[in-house]
Amino acid sequence: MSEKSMTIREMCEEFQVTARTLRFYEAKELISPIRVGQTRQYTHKDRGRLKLILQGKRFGFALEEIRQLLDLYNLGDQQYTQFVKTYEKAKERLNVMISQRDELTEAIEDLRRHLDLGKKELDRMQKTRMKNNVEIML
Amino acid sequence: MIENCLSFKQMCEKFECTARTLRHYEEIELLFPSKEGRSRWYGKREITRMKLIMKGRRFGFPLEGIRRWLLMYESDKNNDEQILAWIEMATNQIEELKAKRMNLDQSIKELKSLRDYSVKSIKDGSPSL
Repeated sequence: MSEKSMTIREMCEEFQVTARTLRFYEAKELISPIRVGQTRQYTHKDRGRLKLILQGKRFGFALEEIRQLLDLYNLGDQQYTQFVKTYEKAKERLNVMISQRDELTEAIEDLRRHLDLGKKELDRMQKTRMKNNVEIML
Repeated sequence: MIENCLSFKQMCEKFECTARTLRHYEEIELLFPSKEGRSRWYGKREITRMKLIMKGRRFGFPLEGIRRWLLMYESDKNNDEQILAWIEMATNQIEELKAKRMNLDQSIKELKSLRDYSVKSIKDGSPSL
């Protein structure tokens, strides 16, 4: 075997995840490390899958969706179905994320307008007070 | 029915919120509907307050921040401190929203490349496409 397998600790360090997360993914059958007594050995394949899982999570895919996509690898069709399904899912999520982005932009602009109003109000109050103070001094 | 008022159900429909949310805002004293027996009625002031609450949520303000904002809107005798505190909160919130948007931009970029990679692989894998 050319690739050395990794321990759970090494995996946690490499991917910045907790051991609990790794065990959880295992329970959900997303990764399947080799069990040697009490320890787990993660192969090259597990690492590849974990990388894709973490990426999928960042994209907002549900774990079950990720599992289904990953399992299409074993279909024996040179990943044809996997790529088609990945393309569909990616397109779907992209639409959601782009509209989320538009909403954020709108909220930022709206908040800026309210902030300007607040600053104007503060300015107006300070000027009024200054005027009052001057009148008192006169 | 009280004139020009919205019922509880109408409020939920108008603001697309759940009954639970609307009751919650009342419990934490952000809204003060008039009560008539077991029904609640929301007048102009409550509707305006609800608009601000929803906006504040969209801005990502914590509930206490929203309370401060409502206070600022309604009192004609604002003090500097109150407005300054709000300005500071809003300024920070804009930065947070911008950071969120940057993360989202990054994910969108990665997702686009995953999409394009899938398309390319489909084409490479089957010449008929």
